[in-house]
Amino acid sequence: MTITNEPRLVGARVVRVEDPRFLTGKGRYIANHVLPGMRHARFVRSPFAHARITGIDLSGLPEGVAAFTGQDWAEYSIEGTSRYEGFQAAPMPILAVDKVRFVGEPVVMVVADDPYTAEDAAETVLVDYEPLPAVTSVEQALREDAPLIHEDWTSNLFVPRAYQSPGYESEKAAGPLSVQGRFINGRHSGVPLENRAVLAEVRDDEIVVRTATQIPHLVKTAIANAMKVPENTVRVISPDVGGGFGVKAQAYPEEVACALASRALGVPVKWLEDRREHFLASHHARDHVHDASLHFTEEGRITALTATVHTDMGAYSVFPWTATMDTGMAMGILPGPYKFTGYKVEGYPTCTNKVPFGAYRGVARPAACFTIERLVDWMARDRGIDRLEARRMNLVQPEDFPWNSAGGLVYDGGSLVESIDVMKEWIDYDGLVARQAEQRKQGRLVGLGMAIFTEQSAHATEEFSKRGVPIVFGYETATLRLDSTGHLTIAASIHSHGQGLETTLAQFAGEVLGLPLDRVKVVFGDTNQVAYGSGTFASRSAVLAGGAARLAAVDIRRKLEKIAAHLLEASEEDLIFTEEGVSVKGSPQSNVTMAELCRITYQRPDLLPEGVTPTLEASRTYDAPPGQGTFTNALHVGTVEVDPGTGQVTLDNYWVVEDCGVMINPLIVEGQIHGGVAQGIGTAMFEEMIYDEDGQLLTTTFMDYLLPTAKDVPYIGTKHLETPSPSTEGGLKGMGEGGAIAPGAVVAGAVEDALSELGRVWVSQIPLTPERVLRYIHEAKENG
Amino acid sequence: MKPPPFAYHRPTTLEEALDRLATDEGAVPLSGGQSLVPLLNMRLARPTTVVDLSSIPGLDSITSDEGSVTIGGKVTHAALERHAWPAGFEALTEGVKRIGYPAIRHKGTVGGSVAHADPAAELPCLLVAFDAEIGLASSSGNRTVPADDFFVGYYETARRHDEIVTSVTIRIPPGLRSGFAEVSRRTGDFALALAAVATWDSTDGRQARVVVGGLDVRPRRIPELEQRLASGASLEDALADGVLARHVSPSSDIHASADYRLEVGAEMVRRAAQEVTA
Amino acid sequence: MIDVPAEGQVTVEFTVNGVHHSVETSPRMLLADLLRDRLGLTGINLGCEHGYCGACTILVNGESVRSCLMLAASADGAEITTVEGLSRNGELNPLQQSFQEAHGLQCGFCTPGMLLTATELLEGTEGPLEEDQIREAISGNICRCTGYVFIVDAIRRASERRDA
Repeated sequence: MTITNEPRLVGARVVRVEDPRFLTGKGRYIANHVLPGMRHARFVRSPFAHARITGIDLSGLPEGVAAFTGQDWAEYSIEGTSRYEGFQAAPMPILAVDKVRFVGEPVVMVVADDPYTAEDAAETVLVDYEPLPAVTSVEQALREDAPLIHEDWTSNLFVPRAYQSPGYESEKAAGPLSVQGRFINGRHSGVPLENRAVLAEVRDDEIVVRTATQIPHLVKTAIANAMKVPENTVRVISPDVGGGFGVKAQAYPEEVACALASRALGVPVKWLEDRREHFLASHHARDHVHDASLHFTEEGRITALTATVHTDMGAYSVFPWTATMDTGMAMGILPGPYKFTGYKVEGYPTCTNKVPFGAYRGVARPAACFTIERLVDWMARDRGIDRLEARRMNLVQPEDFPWNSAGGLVYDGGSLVESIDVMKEWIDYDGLVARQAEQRKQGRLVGLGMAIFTEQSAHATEEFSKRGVPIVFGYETATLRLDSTGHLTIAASIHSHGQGLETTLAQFAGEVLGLPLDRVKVVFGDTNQVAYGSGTFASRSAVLAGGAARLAAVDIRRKLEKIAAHLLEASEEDLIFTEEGVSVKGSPQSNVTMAELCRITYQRPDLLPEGVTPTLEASRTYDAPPGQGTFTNALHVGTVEVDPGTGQVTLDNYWVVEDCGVMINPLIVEGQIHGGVAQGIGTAMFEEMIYDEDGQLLTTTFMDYLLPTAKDVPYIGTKHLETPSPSTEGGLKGMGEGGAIAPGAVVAGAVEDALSELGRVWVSQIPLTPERVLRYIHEAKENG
Repeated sequence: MKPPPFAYHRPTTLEEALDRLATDEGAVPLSGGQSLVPLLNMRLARPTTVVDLSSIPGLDSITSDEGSVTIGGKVTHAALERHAWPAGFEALTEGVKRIGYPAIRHKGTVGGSVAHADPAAELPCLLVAFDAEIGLASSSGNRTVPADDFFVGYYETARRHDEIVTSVTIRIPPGLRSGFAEVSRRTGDFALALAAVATWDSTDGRQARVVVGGLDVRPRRIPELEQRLASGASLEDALADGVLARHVSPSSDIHASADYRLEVGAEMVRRAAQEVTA
Repeated sequence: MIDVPAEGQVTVEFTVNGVHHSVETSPRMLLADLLRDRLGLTGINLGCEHGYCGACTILVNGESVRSCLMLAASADGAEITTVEGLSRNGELNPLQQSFQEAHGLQCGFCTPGMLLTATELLEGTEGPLEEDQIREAISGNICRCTGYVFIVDAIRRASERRDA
C-alpha cells in the first residue's frame, strides 16, 4: 500500500516523544504505583539447589503478617509445555511444593505492611530441607546415573532434536579439509536496570495485575490458566518498563502469587524484586556449548557444517517459550549468512538445578554467530586468506536471494557482500590491518576481529508454529481512532521498554494521515485497552505492530478521502494530506483542516456522503509475510589491545555496517545498535553467572556480576544500508536485537589476532576475562 | 535489600560517640557509609546501634607540617584526590583515583575504608607502603598503630569495636618516590591484584616498601623485594623465581584464580617498582 | 545529640529542590525510600540497593551521592537536588534537552541518576568537555540500554551549549 506524504515522517531523525516524562522523573514504573491499602510481599527462597521440603514453621511470624506456602497453592502452576513429541513437561509451581529445584526458587510468600517489615517477617520463616544431590552441569545431567530433577521423567533431557540437510554426506565429502572446536558461551542474562515488579489488586470480579512485562496479554493468559479463571476476569497492565531484553518476556510465578495473595487477603499486594533476587530467580540465558566442525575445500570454499548444541536450560521449562527455544534457534541459524548446503546438527536442551532459562536479546544467535564466525576465522587462517575475503567468497551472493539456507530458513534478501565493501572503505580496512601487523611486530598486542550475520526478524505465525510453542504468536493488532479534534490514538498490542515505539509507530502510521507527531498518541500495555497480541520481543514490534497500524491508518484515510472529496467537491485521487489538513491538487484554496474534517465526521453526519458511517476507527491485524521472518544483516568490526602482563582487553574501536531495511527513524535505529553492542560486549568480556558444584549461584550482586560501564564500551560507529524487505509493509525489517549478536565473535577474533605474533591459539570461550586471555597468551607463547 | 532494625545515635562530640561504642557492644560507627550501608542493606551487618559520626566537628581536614601529613578519619576519598600532595606521593594520588566511582569517593572516608579493611582495596596497601600510622580513639584513651600492624586479616583490623579511626598520619621522608599499579576487571572494581611501592632516604640508608594487595587476607609487604629495591638490585630474578608465593596465599574466587593473582601480582610489582626506579 | 531506639522516630529536616521539609523517619530508613515514598520523588529509581548501578544518584550539598547508601536520618540539614528539581516551569533544562536531542535515553530508568551526575560534572567544569572526561564522570552509572554513546554525546552537547 503506497501512500507517501511530504514531508515524510518515515526516515526522519526525529527526537522521541516519550522522553520528557523520563527526563523529568515521571516514568511510570511499577515501583511508583501506589494503591490504597496496599501491602508488600517478600519471598522466602530456597537456599538449596535440590532438596526435599520436610517442614515449614511459620510460628515466628509477627502479628498481622500473612504467609502462603506451596501447599496453599499446589493446584496452580505455569505450564511451559512444548508440542514436540517426546517433550518431558513439568509444571513450574507458584511456590515450591514438596521439593525445590534451584537456589532461589520461591518457597514461602509473606505479606506485610511495608518492604522493611516484610523482609523482617521473611527472616522468621523456618524451612526444613533434606538436601538431594544437585545437578549442576549438562554433562552431569546427561549421565546415566544422574539424579532426576523431575522424578517422573526418564532422563534430564527436555527433548532431543536433530536435523540433517539433504546432501549433507556428499557436501561434507566435497570439503576434505576441516577446522573444529568446542565453543562455550557463559551463562548470563539481560539484567535490566529495573528489577521485576508486580502490583496485584483483586477488585469486584476483576484481577488487575500491574507488572513490568514485555508480554502483557501472554501474562494475562498465563495468570488465567494458572488460576483457572476466565481471561476476561484478568487485566494485566504493564506501564513503563525499565528495560526488558527478554528477561521480562516470560510469565513468572511471582506474578501469579501476587494475584493469589491479593485475592486471599482482599488488599492490593506489591512485590518489588531486589537485585539479589533478580540474579537468583529472573530467568537466565545464553548458556551454550557447541561442538562444531566446518568442512571446506583447498580454496577455502565451505561445503558443510556439523554441530552439536548443548544448552543448560535450568530447572523448568518457561512459558511461553518452553525449554526448546534456544536449542532450536541455534540449530536453525548456525549456518549463518553462508551459502553452503551440507548441514547436520543435534540439539540437547537439558534440565539442571539452576534458574530456568528464558529469552535474552538475540536468543541463541550470539552463540550461533560465535561458533560459525570463529570457524570461518580459523578456516581463513588455515587457508591463508584474509578473513573478510574468506567471508565474501562464502556468503550468499546478491543474485542468490531468496536463499534456502542449510538450516531450513529462507533468507529473503539483504546486502551482505555490499556491507563488506562499505566497511572496507569506511575504516580503511587494508591500511588498518597492515598498521596493526606492524605494531604487533614491535611487540604490541593489537588485533582486529569481525563478524557478519543475518538475523531472522519479525518472525510470525509460520515460524512459531514450527517451534511447537504452546501459544503460536505471530500477528499483532493495532486499533486506530482519529477523534473529533483530529488527534489520533494508536492502541497497539506490542509494548515498549526503551525501543521508542511511542515515536516510531506514530511516525509510521501518522504519516499516512499527514499528522504531525504531537497529534498522535500511542497506547499499549493495558490488556483492557488494546487487542490481544503477543508483545515486544524478537525484533518484531515495528514490523508487526507498525504494519498493522499503517494498514489501519490507510483504512481511515480511505474514509477521509471519501468524506473530503464529498465536502470539497473534488475527486478522491486529487486530494493531498498535509499537516494543515486536506486540500485539492491544483486548487489549494479548496481545503479543509483535519480538525474540521474530523469534527464534521462525528458531529455532522448529515453532511457525510451517503452510506458513510460517522466514525474514524479502524483495526487491523497483521501477520507479516513471510511467516518465517524477514532477514536483516550486519557486519561488525572491532579492534582491541591486549595487556601482555595481565590479559586485560581494551576495546579501541567498534564499527557496524547494518541493513535493517527501511528505517522509520535512524536515530532510534542507532540507539538500538549501540545498546545491543554494549550488551554484546558484556557477553564478550564481563558477564557470567557462576555456580559452584553444589548449585549455589556465586554472582548475586553487581560486585560479582559485571555490567559494562561507560569506560568499557568504546565509541560505536554505525553506517546504514537500506535494502527494503520484499514482503513487509513499508519494507521494514526488525532490528532491536542485532547489535547484541556479533560482539562475542568480534572480540574473540580480535584477541586471537592480537596474539598472532606470539603464536597460534584458538579462542573459543567467552566471556574473555583477563585470566582466560592470559591463559591464551601463555598458550600462544607455547605454540609460538 | 532493606536494612534490619537498629537504633540511631548521632553524637555531637567524639566523646559521646566513644562512650556509646564502649557501652554498646553491637554498635558500629557510620562514616561515609559506602562500605557499611551495602552490608546493612544485604543484612550482612546487624548492629544494635548505628553511631553516625556526621555531626562530630573536625576529623575532616588534611593538615601537614614539614615532616608529615595527617588525614582526619572523616576526610573523603574525593578530598584526598583533590589534595595537593608533595612530590613522591604519586602512588597515593594514582591509587585514590582507582577507588570506586566519583559518587563513592564523595561519601567514602579514609577512616571508613581503613576500618573496613577490604584486602583488595587501594588505601590499606598504600598506607602500609607509606609506613602510615593509624590513629585510634576510645573512651579509655588514644593510641596509634603502624598500618602494617593495623591490618590483621580478612576485613579484620587491630581496631577494637569501641575504637574509632580518627586519623592517618603519613611521614614525608626525604627522597620519597612511589609507584602504584593495579589490575581490576573494570575501572573502579576492587583489585584482582595491586602493588604499591615506596622508597625514601633514612639515616640507615635507602628504605623501600613493596606491598601487594588482593593477594592475601590483608596487604602484605614482601621483605625480600624491599631489600633488593633498597639496595638497587633488580627485582626480576626474585619475581621470576616466584618470590610472591613465599609471602602470600591468594585465594581463588569468581574473578580470578590464585595462580592468576600470583602471576599478575608479580607484574603489578614490576610496574609499580618501575615508577620508582625509572 | 540524637539518640533514637530502633522502633523510634528520628526527625529529619532538609531542603529538597528548594523546599524545606521536616519528616519523621525510622532509624533504618534509606534516604532513597524516604524521598520516594514520603515525598513522592519517584524519579529516584532503585536498581541495586548496594551502590553499584547509580540509578538512585542525587545531589546532596552539590555532590553526587547514592541515595540507597545513605540513611535518611543522616540527611539532616542537607540540601538535596533530585531529578524533579532540574526542570523549571515544565520546561526541560538545557541538559535535559540535550539528552532528548541526542537520544541519550531509552528505557529511562538510569536517566535521573545520569542527569544528576552530569549536572555535577557540568557545574564543576568549564568549556566543552572531552569524551574521556565524560566517560570517567559517568563510570559509576550503569546504563543497560544506550551503550553510552548518545549519553556521552548528550553531555558533550550540553557542555558546548552552556558556553554558547
